[in-house]
Amino acid sequence: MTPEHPTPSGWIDLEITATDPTAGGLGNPPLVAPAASPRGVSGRTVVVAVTVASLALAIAILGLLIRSRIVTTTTHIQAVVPRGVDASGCPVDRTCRVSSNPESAVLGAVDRALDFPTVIGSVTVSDAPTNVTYRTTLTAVVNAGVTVTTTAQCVPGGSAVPERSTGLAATGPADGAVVVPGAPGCSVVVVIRAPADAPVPVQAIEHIAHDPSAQLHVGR
Amino acid sequence: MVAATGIAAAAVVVGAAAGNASPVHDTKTVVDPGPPAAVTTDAAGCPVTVQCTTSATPPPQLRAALLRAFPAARVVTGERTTEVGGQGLILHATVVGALDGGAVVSATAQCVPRGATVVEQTVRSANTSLDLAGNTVVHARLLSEIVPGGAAGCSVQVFLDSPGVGTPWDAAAISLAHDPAAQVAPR
Repeated sequence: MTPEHPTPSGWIDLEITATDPTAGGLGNPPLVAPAASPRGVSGRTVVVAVTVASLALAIAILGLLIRSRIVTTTTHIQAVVPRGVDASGCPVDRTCRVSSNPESAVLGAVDRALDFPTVIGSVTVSDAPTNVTYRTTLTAVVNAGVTVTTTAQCVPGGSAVPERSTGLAATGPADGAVVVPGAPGCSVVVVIRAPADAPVPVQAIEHIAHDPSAQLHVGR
Repeated sequence: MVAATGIAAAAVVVGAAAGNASPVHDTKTVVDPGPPAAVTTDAAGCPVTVQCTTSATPPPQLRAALLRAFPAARVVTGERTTEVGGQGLILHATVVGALDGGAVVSATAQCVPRGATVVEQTVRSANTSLDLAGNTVVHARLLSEIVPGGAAGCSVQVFLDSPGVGTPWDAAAISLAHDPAAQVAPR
């Protein structure tokens, strides 16, 4: 160290000698750590602190990414389109049962218009699980040689049916039909065949075809 | 230590942001239009897109097919719906025949434009009731045979209504349903 020796002139003589900094002793005290570096915070502690802080930051970033993400829900909808009916009138994708009993409302319309004619045949096609009627047909004989066939039909999901008619004369021969639409997909057709000179029940046919009770009703 | 403090502070800020954030729900609806819809037909079998005429005269080929299967049948009525103009195609046809003993057989052929393929099926049933003793009485046997045609949307249905318990005409009815001449041509 540098011991001081005062001189008479007021000057201080500095004597520089080599010393061992690690040596102790009264005239040579040991070095202490600088005041800026607090006691107890080691390098290992710093590393652990940085690691923990980084881990916390990583978790926070991950949480932010997860909670800020876009959740996309895609719903696929298959459009329901009519697939047509088979020759019996049953929709292709349905299960139907067939009966020889005519739909009572249609039979009632025919009975009212033709005064209870003789029914020589009838077929009704209904949905097996729901009992909804898709088509009913009945053939009636009015008088000798005059047959009137009435068919009511509904095609589920079907579109509007146009009205059409064959001009019928009051006296036979007659061979034509009247088609009257009901609800979309539904219609009634009355087909008549009459031999020459036979009276043709034109009014009765129009009544049946335009009778609302002769129309079937199918939920869409 | 300064770096650790800075990182920790950043973690707090980001964590707070994450706590306030919520997922954005984006809902998409994809509608599959499916196959083209079949054309609706009226009660006479005429597609609504076609102009038709309907008469009570069954087509000769369907009448002939009925008589091949049921030589003793008497044709009592029928129906034919024909395209007006164009090729004059028959779009729907029916023939009804009377058999011995009060049995009735009908054959209906139809083609639905853009219709799906029809599946062949045989349905047998009966009209029954209970007598006073609680026994089941069979009034009539019913048979419905549906046979697809050569094209999608085309088929033939034969319906047989036979009084009593016997089924003497079932084989003939099934034969008629499978007769290619009973089908109508697709449009």
